[in-house]
Amino acid sequence: MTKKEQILTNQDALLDAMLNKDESTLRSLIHDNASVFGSAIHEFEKGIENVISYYLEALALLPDDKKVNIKTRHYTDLKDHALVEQEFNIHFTLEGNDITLLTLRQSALWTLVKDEKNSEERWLLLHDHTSMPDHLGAFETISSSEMLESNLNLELETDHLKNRLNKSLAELKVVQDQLVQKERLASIGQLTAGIAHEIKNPLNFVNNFSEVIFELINEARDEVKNRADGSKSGSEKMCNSDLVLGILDDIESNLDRIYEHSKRADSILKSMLLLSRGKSGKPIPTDVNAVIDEYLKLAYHGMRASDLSFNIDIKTSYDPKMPKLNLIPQDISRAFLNIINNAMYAAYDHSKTDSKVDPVIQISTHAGNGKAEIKIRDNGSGIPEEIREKIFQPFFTTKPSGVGTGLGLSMTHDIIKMHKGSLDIDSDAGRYTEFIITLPINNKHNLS
Amino acid sequence: MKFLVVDDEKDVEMLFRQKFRKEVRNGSVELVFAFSGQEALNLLDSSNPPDVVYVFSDINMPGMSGLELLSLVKKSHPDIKVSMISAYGDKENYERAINSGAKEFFTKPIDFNSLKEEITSIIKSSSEQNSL
Repeated sequence: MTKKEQILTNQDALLDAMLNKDESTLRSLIHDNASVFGSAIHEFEKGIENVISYYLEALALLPDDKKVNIKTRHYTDLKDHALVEQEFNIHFTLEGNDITLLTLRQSALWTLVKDEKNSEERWLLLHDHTSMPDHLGAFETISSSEMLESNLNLELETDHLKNRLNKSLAELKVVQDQLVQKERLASIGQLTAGIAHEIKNPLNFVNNFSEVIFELINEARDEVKNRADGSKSGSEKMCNSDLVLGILDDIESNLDRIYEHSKRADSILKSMLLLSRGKSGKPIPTDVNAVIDEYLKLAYHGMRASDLSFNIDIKTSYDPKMPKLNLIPQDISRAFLNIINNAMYAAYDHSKTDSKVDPVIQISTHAGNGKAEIKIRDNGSGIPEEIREKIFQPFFTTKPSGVGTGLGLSMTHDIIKMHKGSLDIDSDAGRYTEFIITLPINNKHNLS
Repeated sequence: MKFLVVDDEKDVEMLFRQKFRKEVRNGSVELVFAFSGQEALNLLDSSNPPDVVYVFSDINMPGMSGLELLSLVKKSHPDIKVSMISAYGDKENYERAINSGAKEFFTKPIDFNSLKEEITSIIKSSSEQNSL
């Protein structure tokens, strides 16, 4: 076996042992001083025991019929070291659908170890960075940026190697940014029809009410002319001043409606622009009830416009005592929208397969004990226990391919975490799913 | 003659009342409003036989859609005329409405002149029938 073949065989065995939690194989492949960077904040382990337990704990249990598909692999010979960089995904088949669970990128540094007793040579793993292209907080791989900042202060001696890793990390970041932007645009694309409808509606009212005002003014003018003509000719025909006053009242209330409806169109446009903005904004006091209600309407009309047979019963109960919360509007609204969209999709999808189910979405808010609680419940087919852990992972989706990016819920989770809140799921398979968002009420200065 | 207008947008009531102010004042038209399909059904069932002769309904409403309302009304009260008013004037909606027994299909923004023509023709044909 050539050196390269040996190392790649070890690499395959390592990945296999990681995924199957095979401790003894891991032990045979890892250097005593090995270290590993994980994908989340401060995930750094050093020493064989720590690295092994990291591998055993970091990856969630995977289904037995999982398949690993290595998409790219790059090998660099560095004399006594060798670097393997690869990207792969783990997928499995559920009811005939191929579902990608995870996409992972791995950079593994192998080192040559000579056993002095029997002069045997072995290649062992010295350093590993396996990352999900995730986007915690400000949507960056925290460990990636840490690696960049600390300039890979590891056992990596070769400048060439450093450059290569830096370059691939920079590329990785670009890909992540593109993916996040893609998810943002996807959610807007889905909404376009809903937005068009929601803007057309108030504009129709503006049109209709201004038309009515013209009619009312003509009517009032006729009435006043009649009076003028009547008094000139000395006839007894008098102006009905009550009628004219009534017309003026109507004109006034119509102008008020025009003002309200144009304000509404304006606020819808503003929320759309907020959603498309790449940069995260600043937290401002936000009326959660109003934000949810607005996005509920947008989501409803968006679904309606993309599928004409779509309909759903919407039940809302907003706590009138809900105080304004300090939130980043464009982020929190994207989080609400993702959950509402999923809930509507789930309820409607369930009703298509089970004729006894009429799709219903229930949204309620409640303020108390220093917390704001937002519940979004659908009577969809529920989330099976075995995938409940996975739904917040990036790229995990149960929707048919091309329908979801698999980033929605993972972004939602990050957004809520960023607001120091929590996201819980209550679900009964076959009956319902309820997402419970809890946000702190007095969060003036503590946004992460 | 009593006309029922069904739309989840509450301002529709104000608009109709002002657009038909003359007809309402001279008593030729009476307008009632419902803001959901269910409310409309309750209103129709509140008098037996219903005094409403004509229903104008939006299609796109939360809960019961206008198309569902249309088939339910046509089933229980085949004599009541129903026309749809929708922002979605696509072929599918139009065909579903007409096949389910809708008399006319109006698109939003509402062209009140054509709506007035429709109402006038209904009033005219009923007075002709009465005079026979």
